[in-house]
Amino acid sequence: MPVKTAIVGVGQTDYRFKRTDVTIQELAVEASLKALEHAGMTMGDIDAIVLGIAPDALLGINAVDRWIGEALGVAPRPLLRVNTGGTTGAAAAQAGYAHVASGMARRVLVVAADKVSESPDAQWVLNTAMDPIYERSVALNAINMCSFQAVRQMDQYKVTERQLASVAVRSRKHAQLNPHAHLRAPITLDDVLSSRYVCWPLKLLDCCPRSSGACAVIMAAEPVVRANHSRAAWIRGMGATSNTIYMGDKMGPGRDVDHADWDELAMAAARAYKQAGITDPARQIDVAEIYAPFTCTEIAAVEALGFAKKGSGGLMSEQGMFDMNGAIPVNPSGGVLSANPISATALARIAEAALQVMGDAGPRQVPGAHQAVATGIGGTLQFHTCMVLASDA
Amino acid sequence: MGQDERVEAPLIHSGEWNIHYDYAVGETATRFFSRLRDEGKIAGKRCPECKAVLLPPRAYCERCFVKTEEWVDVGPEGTIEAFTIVYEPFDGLPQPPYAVAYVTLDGASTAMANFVRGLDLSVPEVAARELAVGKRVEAVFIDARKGTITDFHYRLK
Amino acid sequence: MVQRVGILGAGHTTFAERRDDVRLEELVFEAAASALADAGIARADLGTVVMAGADQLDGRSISSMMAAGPAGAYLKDEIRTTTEGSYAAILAGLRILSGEYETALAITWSKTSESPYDLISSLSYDPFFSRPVAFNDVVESAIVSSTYPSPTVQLAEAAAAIVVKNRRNGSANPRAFLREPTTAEAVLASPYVAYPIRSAELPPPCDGAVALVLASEERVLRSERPPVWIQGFGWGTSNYGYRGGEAAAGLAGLRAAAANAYAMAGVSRPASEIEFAEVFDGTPFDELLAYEALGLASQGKGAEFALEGGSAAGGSCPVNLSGGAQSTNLRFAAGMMRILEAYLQLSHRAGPVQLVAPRQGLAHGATSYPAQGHAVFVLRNY
Repeated sequence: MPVKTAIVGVGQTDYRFKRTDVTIQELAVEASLKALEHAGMTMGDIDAIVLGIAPDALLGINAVDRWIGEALGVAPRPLLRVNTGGTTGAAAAQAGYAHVASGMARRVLVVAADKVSESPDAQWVLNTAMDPIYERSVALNAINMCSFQAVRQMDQYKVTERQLASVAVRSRKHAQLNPHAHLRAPITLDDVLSSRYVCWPLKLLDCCPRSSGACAVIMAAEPVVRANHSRAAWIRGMGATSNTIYMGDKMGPGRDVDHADWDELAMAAARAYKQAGITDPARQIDVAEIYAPFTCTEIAAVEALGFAKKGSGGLMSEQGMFDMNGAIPVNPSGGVLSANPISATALARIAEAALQVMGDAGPRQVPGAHQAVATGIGGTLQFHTCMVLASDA
Repeated sequence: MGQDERVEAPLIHSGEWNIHYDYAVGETATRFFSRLRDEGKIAGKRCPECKAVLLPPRAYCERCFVKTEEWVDVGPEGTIEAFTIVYEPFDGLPQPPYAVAYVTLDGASTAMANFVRGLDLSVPEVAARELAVGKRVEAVFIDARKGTITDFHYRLK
Repeated sequence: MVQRVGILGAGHTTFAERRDDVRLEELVFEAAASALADAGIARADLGTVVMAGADQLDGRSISSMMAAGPAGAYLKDEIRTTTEGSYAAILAGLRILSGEYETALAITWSKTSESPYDLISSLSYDPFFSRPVAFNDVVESAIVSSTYPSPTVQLAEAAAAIVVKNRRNGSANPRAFLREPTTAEAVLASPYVAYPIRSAELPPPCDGAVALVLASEERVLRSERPPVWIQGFGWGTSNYGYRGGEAAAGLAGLRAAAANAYAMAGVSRPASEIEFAEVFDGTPFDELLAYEALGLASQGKGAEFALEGGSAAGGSCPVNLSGGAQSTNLRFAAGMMRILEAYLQLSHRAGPVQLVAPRQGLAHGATSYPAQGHAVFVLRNY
């Protein structure tokens, strides 16, 4: 039997474009100390550390986890680094869960940090994630891979640019409630629709910023939680599904899933929901933190999570179903469209979901939130993670 | 130790990464690129179990987890599955605007990405209507082929 | 109550100086398919895939994007660590023990013929304090080795003896890349790369991939093959570079890793209970330091242990009967290869290097410097 595991502490730095006042070491420490304080612990209480750091090239230090580990005072304790691209923070959390649920550790620090502003254009780095033999030289990157999704959504489901824009407007509206968010200025539908095209049909305001910042969570085993913590976010279910890197495999007649959709997220969610005993997600989930770096990806996600029928996510977004006072508030934090510290982004979704079910989300608290879901996305929209957190075990 | 109250502007140290790689393309892609370069032909590999014709060709089928053996010529015409037109300059990537599309070449089970050339991209809405999903294209082979994926590109029929 | 993890099967590619016949992803497929076949399990029945890969060595940012499919993860659960090859087995073990999955393919690879290893190693150092003063993993390994409290002559002879032993062992191992014995004279006559490390003590790298199929205790007991268990495992981290200040940096992390693995496996006297070991030997000094940290030799007696044949075939605890990394330098994947060789010993499939009826052994993987991470696995077949 797995050891029941909960998040008992959350720490986030503010997410900003630049943090020239600190090194990546200090940034990771900043979030970790906040999480430890929130959990009422010190580093001495921690049995093991999981670091989530996405491509080293964004930081310019190979195997940068070792340098960050030094600042955290990890030695001689266990340190394990996870890098799965965009899902890195969520994969680190899943690895952290495995440390505790296996009985191998009682208190684990999961931390992720990024300073994307120190590298050149992130899209250059992300181009080097593409197949060097078949696809890199046709200029693929993380933005145009989502454009391909949007184009297929528009073709198959008649998703409109206005529906996409509604996601951006809502995210910014929510971000005003979150002091950590990078972009907090309100925007209108017209602002989004009149912003310049970056990669057709995605416009500047359909896209996330690139941010610097760090996020940390403390996970603990049930006996520790029961003895020391009045509030906890219990990890009730999780899943992950990977697909091929080749987006074209999700388009031709031989496809198993379609690049327009996130059936992989639906598979990961099915597993997480089953573990959590969720049969009717639209009713049983109170709040969602979705890793949606581009407007079109959130539409795919709300459908995959069972909040909207396939093809109807855009319309429901436009109609306000995912607003703070809607049926299922999505991204009260402002989401990834308001802050994207790449390595930490997926962990921030989990951290925000944990704060919601702990009742610690401050101005962005969804009243009475009891059960939350957090997702992650990485690679060529090929890695998907899902985690269900609840206020009871 | 004295109290130092000067406030210094944070220092920035610059660094460069210039890592050279020699990517072995392997026997499967070697055959694909050689044929592309020498004969101007595009070929995929068929999975012996699910029968999918994989393009770009792979030495194995990820789904059935078996090696592929049989080569199948595809194209040169095909259908657009998804596209984008890039208007923003990115470091290390071509000068915009440029169009990239995933195209299922006739006879293939999967779509393959490449540039779409020969189209006026200056007005996004107009160019996007030209490049709709479902439009037919053909592969155009350049003269000075080197055995790389940009030895060809797509052009609207 | 923590159960134990077992090994259902293992696979690896052929090893060569360059595997230009395959692209990296095809190398990954070769190992994954081989391990699944050995374990007698179909990809469809696999629970999760746990990969270990290093982006800069692979020449692909987020190299798991390309590797997921050929590693068997198509529409499956999959995760990747980048710490070191054998950490894939750690994370896979944790996932099985947590009850999340019944089976896991743990896979790692190294194809450094395509990349400038020394440059990438130097880029692993922080850009402010270490990189400007010309560190890389060999330089730091040399600095650490220089702190070993032993007479210089004896240390040099012990290091040479370890190279000679491992190369002799490797020459009998059909899986090894280098199968040529060498002599102490040849080692000691080779020039210094970074004192006290000589060129003949740095094995030439090879390309290859290694995979294990791990499974829950229940699942292993349903297998027809006699079981091999990962009875205990632990991992630890050393201070960053020599500025940690400990003599022979690297030991703190290994000692912590070993202590945890031994506690989990119920090993209290490793010198007598560990019958053989497969130990990280990127340089012979690494192996020598490990004798003491693992408790195979007493403190300060590592060099004597090597010189007196304690770690040789027929010694009290043969180390690297496979030939180790000195014979098959898989760099990032070297640690996983140590587990594979220990597994083959305990399943009586090690071929010409097979021990007679071994019951318990140890495998050790380590990252390169700085801040060495160490993973220790205690394997047994009862």
